[in-house]
Amino acid sequence: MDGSLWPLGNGDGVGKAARATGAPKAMTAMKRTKTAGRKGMRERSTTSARLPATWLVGSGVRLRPVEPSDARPLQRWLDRPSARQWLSELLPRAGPQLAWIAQLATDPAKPSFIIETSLGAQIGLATLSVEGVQAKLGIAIQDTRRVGLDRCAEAVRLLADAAFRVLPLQRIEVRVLPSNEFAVEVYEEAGFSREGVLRKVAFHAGKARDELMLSLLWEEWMARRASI
Amino acid sequence: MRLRRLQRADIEAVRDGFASGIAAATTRWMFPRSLPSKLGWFDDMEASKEHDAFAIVVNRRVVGICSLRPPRFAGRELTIAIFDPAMRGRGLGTFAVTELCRFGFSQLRLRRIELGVYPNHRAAIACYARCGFQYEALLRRYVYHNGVWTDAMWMSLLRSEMGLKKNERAR
Repeated sequence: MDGSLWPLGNGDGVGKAARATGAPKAMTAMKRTKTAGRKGMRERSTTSARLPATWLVGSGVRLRPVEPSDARPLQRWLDRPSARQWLSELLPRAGPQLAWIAQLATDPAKPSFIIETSLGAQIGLATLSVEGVQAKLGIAIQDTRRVGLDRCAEAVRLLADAAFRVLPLQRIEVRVLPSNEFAVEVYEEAGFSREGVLRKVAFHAGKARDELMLSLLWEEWMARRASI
Repeated sequence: MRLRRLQRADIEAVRDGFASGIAAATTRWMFPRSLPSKLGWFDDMEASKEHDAFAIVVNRRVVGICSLRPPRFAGRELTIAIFDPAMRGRGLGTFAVTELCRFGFSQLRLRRIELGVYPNHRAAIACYARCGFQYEALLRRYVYHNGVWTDAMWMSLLRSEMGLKKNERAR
């Protein structure tokens, strides 16, 4: 049995936007470039019919659950210096990393998703870590320059939106290194507000670092939802 | 159409059914999760003595799922989801609920089957009423659904109210 049994968005309009707009032309070009395949996670072209359907669909990106089979490619990608530049939580050795990724696929408190373009190219990872009425959101994009601000922000918005719909959360928070200006821009674009700088809370590249705290409150999400 | 015990091989179809969001308006919202996490749910269900799940099958295709799970109050709680929109409004739900209740009262010897339904879900309420369920209460702000705490309509069916055939009736 495959995912084609339940056509995307049949019935309630989910996913129709994604299919109608299709993928931007630039993406087709991107898939053909040889370097894209070597960059990190392999960009597999999967026909949409074979993918499990999901309601987490935007106009430029969609989120599908992390499966255990994603562990190896994800770990290879996350081990690269370019990916590790902004990640503080991951351990340097392969073993614990694999265990962490395997946990993402099955831990009920850590709903995690592979970010894909509408064509099925895998471009990043989005995770949520739920603790009671709060949740921490994290997103890692393989090549931010290629993916662009809008699609990054859409991935954040998709996950935050789903989280507020599914879970009785008061707030979703995000912590980033202040030097990661692009990420701050993405989260602000997605509706998050800066709360302040927590001093020396992260251990990154051999030093204790400050982190910028951003958050999105349930009220803010409801207000924005009502205005749409 | 028929009802049969949920099998491990059905979980992929069930996962895809829920992940598509088609049943989202009428069921609890869930994140789409990996296949192994759903299989874990299945194994827990199999191991539990208070949880029985069935697949709703039409033409050998799994189009829905229903179950009797541990109750909020007493007896068992009934759940049902039909994933294929084309299968709605065909009496599939009424058939499944009736079969499930018959199983619960005759095989499990239950005294009570209860269920919660969103008050705006007219089709489901009509279906449950047709199967004999009685309205009990409107539980206010009872379920977190689609971003807000919503009311749940609570209904139940007692063994004495179910029209059982003689040989199915408990001694």
